[in-house]
Amino acid sequence: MTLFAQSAIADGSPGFTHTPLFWALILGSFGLWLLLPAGATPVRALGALAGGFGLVMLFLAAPLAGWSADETWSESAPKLAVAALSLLTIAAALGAAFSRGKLFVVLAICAAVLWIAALAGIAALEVSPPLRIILTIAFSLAGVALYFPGARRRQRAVGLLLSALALGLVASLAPGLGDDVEQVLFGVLATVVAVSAVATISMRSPVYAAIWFAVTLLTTGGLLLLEGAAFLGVATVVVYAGAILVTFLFVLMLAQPEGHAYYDRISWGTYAVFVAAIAGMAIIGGLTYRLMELDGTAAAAVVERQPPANEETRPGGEKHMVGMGGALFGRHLIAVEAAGVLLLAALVGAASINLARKEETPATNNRQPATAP
Amino acid sequence: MNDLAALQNYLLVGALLFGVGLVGFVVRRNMIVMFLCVEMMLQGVAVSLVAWGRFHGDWGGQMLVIFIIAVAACEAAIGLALILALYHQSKRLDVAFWQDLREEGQPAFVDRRIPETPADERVWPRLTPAGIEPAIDERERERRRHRTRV
Repeated sequence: MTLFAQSAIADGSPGFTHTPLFWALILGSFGLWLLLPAGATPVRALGALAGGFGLVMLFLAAPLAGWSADETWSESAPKLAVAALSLLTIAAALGAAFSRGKLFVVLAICAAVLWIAALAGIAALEVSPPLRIILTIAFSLAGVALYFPGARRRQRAVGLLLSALALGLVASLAPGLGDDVEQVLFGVLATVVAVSAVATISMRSPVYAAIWFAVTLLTTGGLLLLEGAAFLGVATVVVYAGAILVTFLFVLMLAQPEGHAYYDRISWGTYAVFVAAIAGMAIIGGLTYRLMELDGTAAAAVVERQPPANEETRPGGEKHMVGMGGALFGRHLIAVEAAGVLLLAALVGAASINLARKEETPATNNRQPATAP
Repeated sequence: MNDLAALQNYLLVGALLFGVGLVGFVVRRNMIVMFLCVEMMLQGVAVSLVAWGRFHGDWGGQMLVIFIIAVAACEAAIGLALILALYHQSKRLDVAFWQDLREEGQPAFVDRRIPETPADERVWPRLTPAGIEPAIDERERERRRHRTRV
């Protein structure tokens, strides 16, 4: 990872700002911003100006956050994040005020959510971890319960706020990674994963849910790349986002072509939603609690960690694919054959289900609920 | 220590994806969105498995994720075919329509209150027309209309 000039940060020279990655981030995001369609040309230009200003400030915010030479990146990262997110919120709010489209409103909401999450995360660092987990569970429980489809607009806003607080609390529980670049990339990807996952289950329109799920898939692919699973990261994007999700969208267009239906706006009732939120948050909270208890000895006691036989062909090593191919077509060869048979059987099954269908029943009104028996 | 911190971080994300997917599966009533939530839970498991594989430095986690992707593809094919078949029976994607399959003696679920559709949600969002509309000569248009009638 000579690209990132890790040592340069430590001895006080500009370091990260002089790396190709930094400029790629700035230019890429600025260019993307210019490409986004939002209203008329002057509005777009203004939005591009505001957004570009925000993004540039995001990376120049290090001096603003009091980043001195002897302070490492990791220590100043929270301050930096808050400074950058404040600027981003202001920029997006300016864009929302000056443009007609909904894009800036959405961006402003997203930036504000992240800002609240960052503030909550920093504030929570003073609280002891068990209390933090309890607070996380409580906030996310209330947030999800208020955010289900069928809730009123004000309830959903409160749910959004509480979910943002919960996100910040969860983030404050995660230990630092040590590697600054990995820390920043992981933070961004994990935040996007969390936000888009919640958006997937809370969007009323199923098409929007599917598109938010595509965002989840892309960022999960990024996380897998960061984890050193290059093949799986690419396979997730190609297979999931490229094939499975498109099939979902096709079925959606076949089955629900005339707009929003009543069952996207209601759920199973308040009690059921509450119980579901409790179940989900208990799982997240319990897993988080166990994870924080985890230390090196306990994890090593489960399975003896041994150095890989060949340093080059370990996961994420120099010859990643060589090792992976060896493992896949060596030890797991029978499983590969079985997976091939399974895929063929699924293909035949999916075709036969739709071929064997009888005459269709006459169309009923999709917008009306089923009558109670 | 760095390895352990990475493991904890990725497991946290995996737990989050799994939990959110679970809540979505239970809460939503659109069959396709429920299916999306199942896929999201699988993603959470995949992230956790790869994190454990990286921690232990072996290939088991990644191998399992490869097979998860293969099985998920099969599952999507079969599941979507079934959803289409169900849709042709009921003309809706509401999973509550199939509550006759519930256990005997259980009370039926009846919607108490169905909120009104807001006016801006009655149609799908429309795309902004791109490019310039070509100027068509009136006589040309008339001739084309004639042709299509024939």
